[in-house]
Amino acid sequence: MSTCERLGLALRTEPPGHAPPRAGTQVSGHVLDPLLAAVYSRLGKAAFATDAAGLVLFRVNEAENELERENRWEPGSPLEQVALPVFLFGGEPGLACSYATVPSLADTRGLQPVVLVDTHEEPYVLPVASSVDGFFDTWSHYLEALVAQPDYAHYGSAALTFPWGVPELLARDRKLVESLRAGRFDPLMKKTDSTAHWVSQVLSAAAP
Amino acid sequence: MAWPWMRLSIVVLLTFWAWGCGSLRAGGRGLHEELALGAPASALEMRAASWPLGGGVTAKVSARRAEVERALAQLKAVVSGVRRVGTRLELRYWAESGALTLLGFHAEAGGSEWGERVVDPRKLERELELALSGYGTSLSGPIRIVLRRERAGWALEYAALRPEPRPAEARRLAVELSAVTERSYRAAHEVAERMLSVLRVPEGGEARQEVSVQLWDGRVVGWEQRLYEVTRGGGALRPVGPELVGQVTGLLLGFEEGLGPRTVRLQVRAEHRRGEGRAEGWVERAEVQRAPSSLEMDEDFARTYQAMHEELLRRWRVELKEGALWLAASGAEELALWYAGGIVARGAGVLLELSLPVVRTALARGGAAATGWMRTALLRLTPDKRRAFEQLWSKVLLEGDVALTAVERDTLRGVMQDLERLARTPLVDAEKQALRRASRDSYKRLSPHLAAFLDEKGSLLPIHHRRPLEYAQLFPADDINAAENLAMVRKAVHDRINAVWTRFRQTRGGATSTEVEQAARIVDEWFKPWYHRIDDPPGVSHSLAEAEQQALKALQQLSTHHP
Repeated sequence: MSTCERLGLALRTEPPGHAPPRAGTQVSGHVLDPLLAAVYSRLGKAAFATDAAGLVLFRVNEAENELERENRWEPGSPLEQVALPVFLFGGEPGLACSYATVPSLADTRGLQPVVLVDTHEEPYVLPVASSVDGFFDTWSHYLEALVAQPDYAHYGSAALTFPWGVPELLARDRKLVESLRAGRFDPLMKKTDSTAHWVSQVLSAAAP
Repeated sequence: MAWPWMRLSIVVLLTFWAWGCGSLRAGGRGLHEELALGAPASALEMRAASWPLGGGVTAKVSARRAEVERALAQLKAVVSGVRRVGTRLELRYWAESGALTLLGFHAEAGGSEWGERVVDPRKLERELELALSGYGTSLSGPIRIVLRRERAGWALEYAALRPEPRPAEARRLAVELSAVTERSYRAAHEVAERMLSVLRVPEGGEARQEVSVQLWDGRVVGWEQRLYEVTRGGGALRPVGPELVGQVTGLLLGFEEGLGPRTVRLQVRAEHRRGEGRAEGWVERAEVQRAPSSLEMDEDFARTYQAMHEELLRRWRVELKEGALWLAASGAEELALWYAGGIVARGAGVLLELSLPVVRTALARGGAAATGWMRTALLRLTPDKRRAFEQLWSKVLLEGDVALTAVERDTLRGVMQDLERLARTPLVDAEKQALRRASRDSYKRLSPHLAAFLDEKGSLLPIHHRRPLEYAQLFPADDINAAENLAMVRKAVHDRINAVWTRFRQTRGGATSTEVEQAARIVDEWFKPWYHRIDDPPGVSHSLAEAEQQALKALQQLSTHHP
């Protein structure tokens, strides 16, 4: 939020519902990440920088529970093709790009990593942070890098993509790098040259 | 008929220097200051105060005044040294929104009586200013200024001429530059000197010369000698005096006010008097000759491009830095239009002998198709190549391709080949994300009533590419992000459409463009009612699930017919 305010980007939030989902509870059959639960204890909905790249969190209040609805997959949902169950909590406006936690990859404290799930074609997944907090931190740095791009005035958010265009920002998340090195995300990621190249960029940027 | 002009002596130069100083407004400097005093210390010093971006009425008034000041300075150069009473000089301008573009010049010699050497210029200057200012603001069309030499000064007549179509070189934007830049002056003066060095006059005789000067926007890009003839006398040849160089320089600077490619045909005559070291010369006629338009663009696209080009040139002339700022502040759409139009209009030299069938086809379509293709194609370049493209094409469009160094030229040609190659290459995931973001931003601009829903619902309202990005390379000359290829749909609809394309992908490996078009038509046929909607469409007899099944069935039939 503070990054949006500092950069003069759009910011819209709604108050939390009276009974926000709690950490560790099941939502549509998935264990809710504790940090995501903390977010929903403070906000019922948020739309960050929709005049730039845009990150919109699902709405959870008395009238509507998008978190529950969007994770209740219809038969034939493209998410069925993703190797591990993912828990969607938001995404980018106008794109079939969602952000999700991966309950089965939670660490010993129960913190789940965050991935990008792209369902425009055959679904693919890219890890973006080792935790929800790490995700907001990386994404806010990404926003700063985006608006600082010389091309931003001309090409808007297309001037710098996320996470493809910022492997060096992801490399700041040491825990994410460790997981990548250990191959914990391998089942989720596509076996393509561009994916392998991107992973190597993240790992190279993290190299001491 | 011979028409001897008064030689321009130091005294006359000083006379005009005084005229210039006495008449110009504070802060402005005339061409004659440069002629008389030499080049100024800095071109920047000669420029008017910086032009505020998006300047309002005040800026426009000052720009109109600057137009008049420049025209006055050019006129002073033209009349300098004319003393034969009855001499008639006619200048034709195109006046529009305060901008004055010189279209032609014609001179007729007077009688044998000589007028006074020093004349009071103030009356003529006032009248000229009144004429130029008045027409410049109130009229759009051709005007004529006629100056007739009298014994003690000049008489002025001016009139608006019968309306005619706007000549291609006529400007519509006034430029707030109260004097020409040092660089422009030096360039025009050098051309005049080289051109007139050919004109040699026999002792006591007369000669004439015709020269074609090629101009592009505000630059001389070439000239050629067309005719040289000794019309009287013979014997030792004498050069012409420097005053003729000054007059030709003044006229060239006047013609450089125009736009686009054109040729100015200059007819010059000179006469030598026995005993004099140099011959006296004068310009008899100078006219713009317009080549047929070489723009392979539709009319609207050409008009839009020319308007943008003129605006950028205007800013560029007023203040280089401001031109760059304006360029930087322009949106991708405007820039793409400028580059697309500019490459078609002016890229021939740079692109010579390059095989670029896709680029040429895409840009030749003109209008939104060419602009959109250019915008999308630029997104596929790496940032450093995109910057090279923008910087080097800007240089070509503003300064001409002669301004490119050999390395820059090779770089630009290499980037153009990259564009050609990329258009035929499948998009990788990162490129797809960039293009999808561009399509989202474009959709929000084109459908402002839906923009708020996109911002509100996030990834639950994705933009669907009717012809998918994964097949963009099969349609290399088309803009995959064209407005007609985009449709906002609900995520549930997108998932159903995706299932159809997944089946197509699985069954039609190595699909052709025809097959992709057929599949896109099937998807449109069954899902179109859900396009651009945030709710279920009313009056549709089939459900989303049925639409998916019907589309898959149609796809199956397609596969059966075209195994």
